[in-house]
Amino acid sequence: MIPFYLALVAAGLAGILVALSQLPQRDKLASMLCLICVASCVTLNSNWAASGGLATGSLNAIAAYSDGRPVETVLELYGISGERRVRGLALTAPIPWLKQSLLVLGLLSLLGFIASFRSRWTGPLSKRENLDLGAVLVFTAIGGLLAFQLPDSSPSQESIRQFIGGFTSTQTIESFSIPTGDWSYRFSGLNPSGVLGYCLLLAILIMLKPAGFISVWQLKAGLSLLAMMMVASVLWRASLVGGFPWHTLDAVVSLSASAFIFSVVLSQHPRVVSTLAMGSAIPLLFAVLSL
Amino acid sequence: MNKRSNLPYLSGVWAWVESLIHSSGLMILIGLALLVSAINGLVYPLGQHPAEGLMVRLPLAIAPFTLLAATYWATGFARLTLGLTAVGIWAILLGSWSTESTGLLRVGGQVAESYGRFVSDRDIQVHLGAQVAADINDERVSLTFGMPNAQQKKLTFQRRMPQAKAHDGRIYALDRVVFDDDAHVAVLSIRSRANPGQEVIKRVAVDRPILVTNSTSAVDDTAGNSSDVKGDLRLKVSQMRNDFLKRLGAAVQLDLQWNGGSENAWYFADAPDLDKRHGTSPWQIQLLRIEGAQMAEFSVRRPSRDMVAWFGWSLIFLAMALHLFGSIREGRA
Repeated sequence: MIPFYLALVAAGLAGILVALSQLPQRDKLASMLCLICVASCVTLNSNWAASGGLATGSLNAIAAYSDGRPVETVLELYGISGERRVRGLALTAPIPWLKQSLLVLGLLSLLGFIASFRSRWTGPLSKRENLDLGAVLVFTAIGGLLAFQLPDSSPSQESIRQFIGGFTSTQTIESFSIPTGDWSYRFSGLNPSGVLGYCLLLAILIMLKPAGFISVWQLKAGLSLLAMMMVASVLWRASLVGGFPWHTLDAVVSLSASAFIFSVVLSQHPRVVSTLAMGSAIPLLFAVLSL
Repeated sequence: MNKRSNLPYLSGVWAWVESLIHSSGLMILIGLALLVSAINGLVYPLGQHPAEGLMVRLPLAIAPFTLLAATYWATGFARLTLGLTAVGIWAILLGSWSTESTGLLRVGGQVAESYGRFVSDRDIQVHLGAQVAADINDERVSLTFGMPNAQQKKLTFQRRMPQAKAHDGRIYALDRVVFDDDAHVAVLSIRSRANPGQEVIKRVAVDRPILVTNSTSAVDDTAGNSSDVKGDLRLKVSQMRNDFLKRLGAAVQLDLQWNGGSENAWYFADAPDLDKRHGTSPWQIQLLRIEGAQMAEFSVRRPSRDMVAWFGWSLIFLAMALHLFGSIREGRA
């Protein structure tokens, strides 16, 4: 895992370098909005299954043991004609409002990104731009906070009774089991908390230092050095696995490194640098929380 | 359209293509496609996704053209960096090219004999030429190749360490261990009728026989060695139903063999005392429940020209070093 973490550190530092650099603020902010939009969309897509309606539905956390098995409560119940049945019911819990927050966040950031092509974000931000960015930041913070609020993994008899009450009449249940062992709630798809936190940090850095203090040549040199670290981590992992099979984590590291390299060699385009250098950490952050 | 072209002798569609290749937007799109593919690989291992050609290989094939187009304005180290990176990307693409696409081997509770591979966007099952069984625990996953009673090959993978291993002309890399909705194991309570006070609880998958010794301890017998120890039981689940005939609940068909007899019968979770009352074997078996099983997912591929990919990444490393050198020189100037 060391090469993976090496790549993560390199990509994370690259994002911070870009945020504090003297690249035009318009390009940095536009890139950030674009990345937030992509992160929101892929998170929603991977967690969408069985999340219900647009306005009333919610993303669900699933209970799982550390080895990936779902946590079940085993029900013993009797049918209409009195026959005994034993059923396992996987524990899930809704994460209220996260779905709606991510939807609004994706929409706002997309609008902001589109507006950036017509905007003049070269100097101080106008009132309208401040409002748009403020709304994106607020929703990013809300989304990030909601993503951290996964349900508690110590169900009482009462909470299990309440959970199974949503599926069947508790009158017919003879008994149910309370799960034991080391388990916790987790996202069924990608966990957005790390990426939203990272985007929020970069956005705050960009807003705090609009002009930046890292000169362009320093940024180029720094990014080259970090790109060398990322390529080294790709080669290190390849030597560990004896080649380049499309192992999940190898793919994350090598594709992130490829995108990062494009940002380094095309450094004459500020928006390419800011989008790809800040974005290369995103798959790695998703991966860390999926391990 | 002619006005958008940097090369005055181009016109029409060619001028448009030229301006597209020079645009920064195309490179952002290529980079985002790679990043989304990297994220997607976490929920669906890369190499097995039908859109991989469109999302990874096509952008990687186009990217060098954009890099080479950028050399039009670049000079010195910047031009060399762009050129080396473009050649490096093509080398990586060529190095990762294989006559076969990467396949997905899923093996868990049941023995597998083939892995899935996408050919022209269709999932094709490719036979491995042998049976493969997986043994999954918290630390490692073991793959055992070979027919029962024949010479076997065992590959062991650490779950926390990335590692690829080769066997019989194919490379296997453990992607992840998942819970499988389609595969299940039966949880059985096994007692000797002679000694009903001692109970063994075993999780048994379909077609994975186990051996229950007379001392009421159980050992795995995946090799299929039949037991000739007096009083031992060889137990195999031949079929499993979540809800037998949609009415009778969870049920398993068990094949029991002991020294002196055999029995093949259905056992029902909703009728736990059926075997106690009517069973003829010296063993009393009760189906407690059916549980989901874990399944290991492996990327499988034929060895490719890895040396070319190594060369490509090394070229890119060199390009980055040159870019660093050029940036420092630029800063001093």
